[in-house]
Amino acid sequence: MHMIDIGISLFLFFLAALLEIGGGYLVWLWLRENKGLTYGLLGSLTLAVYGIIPTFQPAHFGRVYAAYGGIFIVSSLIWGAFVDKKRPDKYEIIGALIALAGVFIMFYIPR
Amino acid sequence: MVKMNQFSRQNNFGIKQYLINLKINLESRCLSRERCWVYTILLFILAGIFEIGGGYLIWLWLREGRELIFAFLGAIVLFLYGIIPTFQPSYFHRIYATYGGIFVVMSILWGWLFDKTQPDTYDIIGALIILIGVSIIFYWPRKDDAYD
Repeated sequence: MHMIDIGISLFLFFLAALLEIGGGYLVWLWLRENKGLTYGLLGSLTLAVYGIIPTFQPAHFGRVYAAYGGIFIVSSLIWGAFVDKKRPDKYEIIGALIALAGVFIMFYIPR
Repeated sequence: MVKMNQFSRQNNFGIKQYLINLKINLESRCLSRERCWVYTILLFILAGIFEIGGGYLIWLWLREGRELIFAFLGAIVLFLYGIIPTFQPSYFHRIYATYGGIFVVMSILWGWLFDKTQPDTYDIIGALIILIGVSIIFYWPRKDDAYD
């Protein structure tokens, strides 16, 4: 895979993670934090836009999915800290570091 | 007017009330840690199926030139995907961080089953380490286990 493809892939994955977590959070606010239906509908719209992003991915992005998982795990914890004001606890940080080690093994070990 | 607002805030009508009742009903069955484990892992897997399925329907619309109905169905499935984590008895960030790991493993399984791309040794080792990591994130016993 070319470097440019990897760059585009990673950018799209960051965008996808933002839309996916943001959309999920809006639905969460609707059902768990008892906010209005508007939040639920906005969330559903955001998730639909999220669904469009992968269609822009370069054709063969195989193991980049592992990278997406890593981005997603870290983004979720950052989202929690900044939007939800819940700082990750010790086990969340340890677990995330272990999971990232797994991601690196999958993604970076030359085959 | 003020009274009406208070009234509508106290009473959730329709789909929302239905979902909240369903959630209370399902969660009340997750009494022991063991049962909760089954309940939560099933929810993670269900979310993965809905996310990959919904994304696939939208893919069919945009990349394979299928009818607009596929896009609508995809959007509905993705909306349901967004509802599933609200049934998890935990915090938003913890659920989503865990789901990130489940998603990697499920997309590898998906690729293996449907695209015939067999994972190699390092994929499997990496996937197992990811599962250990996200299990610690979600299932490590804490003092603050009383959610919300």
